[in-house]
Amino acid sequence: MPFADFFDELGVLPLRAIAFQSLLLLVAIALEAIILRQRLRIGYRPSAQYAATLNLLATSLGWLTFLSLEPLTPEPFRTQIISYILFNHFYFNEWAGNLPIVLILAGIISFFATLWIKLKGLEWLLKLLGITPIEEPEKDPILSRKERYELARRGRQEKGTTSTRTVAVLEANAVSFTAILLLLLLRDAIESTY
Amino acid sequence: MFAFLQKLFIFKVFQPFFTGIRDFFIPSSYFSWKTMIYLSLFSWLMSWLAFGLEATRFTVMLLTSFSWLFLSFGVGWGLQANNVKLFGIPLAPWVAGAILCGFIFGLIPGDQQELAIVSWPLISALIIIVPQFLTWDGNVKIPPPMTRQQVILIFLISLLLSSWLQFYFRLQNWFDDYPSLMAESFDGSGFVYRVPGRTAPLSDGVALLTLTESALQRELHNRPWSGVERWLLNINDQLVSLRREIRDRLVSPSREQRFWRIDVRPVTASNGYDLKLQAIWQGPTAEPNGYYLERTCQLTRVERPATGPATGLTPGPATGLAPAAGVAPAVATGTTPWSNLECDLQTERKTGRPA
Repeated sequence: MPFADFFDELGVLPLRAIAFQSLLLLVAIALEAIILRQRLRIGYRPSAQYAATLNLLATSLGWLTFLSLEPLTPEPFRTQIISYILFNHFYFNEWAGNLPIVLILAGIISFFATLWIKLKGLEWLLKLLGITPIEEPEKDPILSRKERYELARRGRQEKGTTSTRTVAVLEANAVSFTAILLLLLLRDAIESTY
Repeated sequence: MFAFLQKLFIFKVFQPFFTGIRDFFIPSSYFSWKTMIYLSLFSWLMSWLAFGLEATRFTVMLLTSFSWLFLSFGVGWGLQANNVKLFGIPLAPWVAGAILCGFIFGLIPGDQQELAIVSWPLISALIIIVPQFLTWDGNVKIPPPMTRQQVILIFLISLLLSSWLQFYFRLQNWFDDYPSLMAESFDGSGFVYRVPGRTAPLSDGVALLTLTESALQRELHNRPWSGVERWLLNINDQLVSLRREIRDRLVSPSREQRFWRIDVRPVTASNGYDLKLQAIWQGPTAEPNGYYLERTCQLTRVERPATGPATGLTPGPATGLAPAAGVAPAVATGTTPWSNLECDLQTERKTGRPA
């Protein structure tokens, strides 16, 4: 049967990764669109488009990073990655003890890397679309020397120097990461019960 | 007259059919996708003509290139014009992109299949994107923000598709590096899926065990029993050289060789020993406690007339000169113990670690 031969030739396909990533992307885009819409006071359509753009950008860059770094990793670590991807668990070797720390570090790093990518991405997207900044840049009132000193002393936090955009993206990223983490845990829980 | 009428009648009946064929083959205007296909066919035929007339390589290449370009634009245009869709997605840029990829990476020498497939979504995205930035007279234009947003999304989606394709090829690289992984079950995986009904290939450990078996046959089969006993007594040192020998004899030492540990365990049996040949997998596996492959060999003691090779009855151990010292005391009794090694055909796969 040539059709079966074709599949035999293809070998092992990353279908589960594709299906699960599509699901995660949809969830993340939906959640982030809601938050961007509320925070930035924009319409449904642009908020969904921005969220889709930012998440697709972060995902693609993540894939490119993984695909380019994977051949460079030391052999014992590389085989642990292979073990996780193919069998969903690690195996025992000299790296096995460090893996929980590596995983947590990777999670934290990817959170901040994604946040940075999304912030820069939104900035560039708005520039490319020729949209004036969403939030009005608050004009610095002319302050006396004392007031400026007070401001610097308080770390300028209450003055709202962190723009609405940054807060919106940070919140969106945090919510989507939480949702993804919950989904991953749920999947593991379901798999371990069967 | 009657025949003529009949012909006429048949012609009348088939006329729509003939006009249909004519309309299908002859483009309604010169500026159409069919013209492109004909141009492609024409330059393809011309390239063969040029090839037959032994024109320069450059001419042939130029003609075939034009043929490919016309073909991809013609097919893309045709699909676009007829609005061919699959699951609501227009097929035109993808098919045109595939043809273009085949052409571009066919030009580069060597096997570029992987690169061609990975860049297919990107080239298809370019086919969608580039026309948005061009006016009909070929000038660069800047599309409205709505289109710009769509263009960005299309590019990112194609980048993601390309990453998935690249991930597929990366998986195949892993299986090339560690072939025994193919023999595993991927049911627990969150990433990969094997089309069901496909038999998992044999693990490479089987080949290693076969090599071990032939090495043991040479060392322990048809030997004086005392030498065999000495070999078994000294098994740990013997295993060191055995492992080295097996590693040297492997045809293609793959990366996964370091995951296999060869072990031979003698167990006392009624008339000699049972040798358990084990290939222990120390790499990634679906089994939480690992697995090993085991083949059992029976090393039995057989009594033979003391004269040994000279009788011609035994399939002579021609190199049996060395253990002569061990044989000597047994000559008086009339028979000497020799060894016989027989191995089971099948290899068992057992989970866990050997006890």
